[in-house]
Parts: sequence; C-alpha cells; structure tokens
Amino acid sequence: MTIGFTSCEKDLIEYRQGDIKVCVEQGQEWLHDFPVFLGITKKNPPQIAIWLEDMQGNYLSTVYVSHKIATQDWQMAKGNRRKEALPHWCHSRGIMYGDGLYLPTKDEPIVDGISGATPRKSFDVKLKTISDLKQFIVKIEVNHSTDFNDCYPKNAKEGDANYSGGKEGSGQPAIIYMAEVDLSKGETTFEATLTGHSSPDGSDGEIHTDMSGLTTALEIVERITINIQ
Amino acid sequence: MKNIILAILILYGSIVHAQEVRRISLTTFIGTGFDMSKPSYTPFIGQIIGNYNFNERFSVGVGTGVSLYEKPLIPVFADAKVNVCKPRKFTPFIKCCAGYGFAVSDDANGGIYINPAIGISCVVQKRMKLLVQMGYDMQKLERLKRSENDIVSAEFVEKLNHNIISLKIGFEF
Repeated sequence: MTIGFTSCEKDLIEYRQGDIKVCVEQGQEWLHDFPVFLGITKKNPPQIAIWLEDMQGNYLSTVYVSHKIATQDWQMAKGNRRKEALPHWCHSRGIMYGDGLYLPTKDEPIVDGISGATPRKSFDVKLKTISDLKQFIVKIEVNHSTDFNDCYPKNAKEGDANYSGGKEGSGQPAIIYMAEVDLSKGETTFEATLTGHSSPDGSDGEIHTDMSGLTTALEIVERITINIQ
Repeated sequence: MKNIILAILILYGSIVHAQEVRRISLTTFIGTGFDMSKPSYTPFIGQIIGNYNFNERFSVGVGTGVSLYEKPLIPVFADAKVNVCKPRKFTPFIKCCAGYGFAVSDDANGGIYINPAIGISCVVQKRMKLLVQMGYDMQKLERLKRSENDIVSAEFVEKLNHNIISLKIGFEF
C-alpha cells in the first residue's frame, strides 16, 4: 500500500542544467529533545537560515529560513523572541524591527515563499541566479534551542559569556557554514565548511572561531554541499 | 458436540438479528479543528462515508471528501465505527478512519490521513441521526515553495504534518 501511495507522489522540484542544488545532510543531532512538560520531550529539528552574500561578505538574499524564527511562532518560549537563535543571519540581513532587535516579528514576518517548516531529515534547496552573479558565498546558520552542555549551561546568568537566553534559550550557540561558489570555473561541487559560531546570547552578528565548548551542536549537520547541475 | 450446537445457535441468532439492521448507511460530516503543529493551519473538512453495518453495534465503510489545508486534498479512507451501547436516542460511538489524502494541485503531494474519534449520535428522524464527534486528525502533505527577487530564485519542498484536534458534525442516513 505504501508503494502505491508513494507512486502518487510527484517530484516537486525539477532540476535543469545550470541550476544550483544546496544539499543539507542531517547529522546525528538533527533532531533534539525539546522539553514540553513534566519531563516529556519531543524531537525538534533545528532552526536554519540559508542566504547568499557577495564575495566581500555583503548580504544579498535569504533563500530559506525555518518557519519559527521567520514568523516568531515559537512554542513555549515564554515571550523570549530568541535573538540568540540565528544571530549571524539576523544581523547580516540588517533589518531592525520596532523593538530594536534584528528579528522578524509576528506582524512583520519573513516573506512566506522563503520560510518553511524545518524538514525532519536531509533536504535541498534549488537556486537559480537571476542576475549575472557568478561568484557568491552561500552561508548556512544552524541552531537548536535548549541544546545545553557543560560550557553553555541552562543556569548561566545574563551578562555571562556563555549566557544563551536562559532556560528556553539556545544552550550551545548557532554554528555557521559557508561555501564560496564560482560558477565561472566549471566546478560542479562546492563543499561548505564550518566557519565558526554565533554570539551565544545573540547580542551581535559576529562570527567566533573558537569552537571549544561546542559538542552536540557540531553534529546537527553531517555535510552541506552546493552542486551545480 | 455441545459446542457445535451452541455455535450454530449463536450464528443463527446473529443472522436473524442482523436481518433487522439496515445494512447500508451513508454519513456526511463537515468539520474543522485546532492545529497543534507548527506551521499551523485551520482546516475545513467535508466527508461522505458509505458504511456496511454488520450489526447494530459495528460498521465499516469507505469515505472520501475534501480537506482544505494549505493545499486542497481529496482523502480516500477506510472507516470503522463501534457503538458503545445498543442504539438508543443518544448513542455514544468510537470510530477510526485511515487512508490517504491526494493532492489536487501540481505543486503539492498528499500524505497519510488518520482520524480516531469519539462522538455521540442522536436520532432526529426514523432514518436519520445527527452525529457530533471530536477526534484527532493527522494529515501529512508537502508543497513546493518558491521565491524570486532580482538576484536569485529559490525553491524548496515544505513537508507538513498537521496534528489537529477536530470537531465534526454530520448526519447519518
């Protein structure tokens, strides 16, 4: 019966020659136990943003961002806007909202076409450059909420270097991958490399290259590749 | 030997009793619900189910209809219903539907549909009952999302898994 149903499913994305396929492969920690209540947890996928920058690091365009941060549709965040979720993406966009944060709001969410429920496993995004953009950077920022460890504990106090938003915060900070893509070289595969992590409390958009203290956060993603079809 | 005679008597009794039961019934429902998933969506659900009544307590059937989520779906499902007690003016029941919601549009795929529910039926006319039921509707689907600006166009598939606390009202004929 499953085979019958599956045969009714179409390939919704059709790749043609020259299209760009960003493949995000899930790691062992892709799904993370998120506390619901009374010790009950549910497996949550991470928050993710994928965007393009020019070779000078200037923000160009977001191509995918997960639903919760895009629409501020957090569950059980208790009013925390979660600026620590994907701070490098937020600050790269550079759009400040009414409350002084660089986070979209419920009233001014990210455009529906680029936001979606985070997949529960590996996924891909199809890109096609419209302008004569041949060289660009693809950046990916990934983060789990409540991903605490010894270096980024739940009980860290606001103002501490390892404070990540409190009990409903991030725990380990968001991590950033990037790939420099040059369409004029004839190469067909570009692998994104781990560049660093974001500000733990989301107060700025800097990239921190000291990865000591990060544990499970490094296993959210197995591999990210950019393939030219 | 005693057992065989007893079995024959029970079978005969149930056949005689079943002859009093209307074999085929038709049920229609409309409903909506509260989506516990993120992203959430308030659906509209319209269904029609043809049931075969084995006896006055148990029936199975097949159904279809329309489910309006982010994309319209045509569900096709099997249905089983058990009346908790012998039919009265008000009769509580338990039912479960399971099947598949087929996507209508080209930029979407349907998915598994499951709906366990409890409810109560009320005789309003000799051959018509009003049904009210509350349950859990699980409907999977996926849709293509697109964006384009003057720099880049992007496409990805959004997989949705709606978990709905649903309320439906209908009639059984």
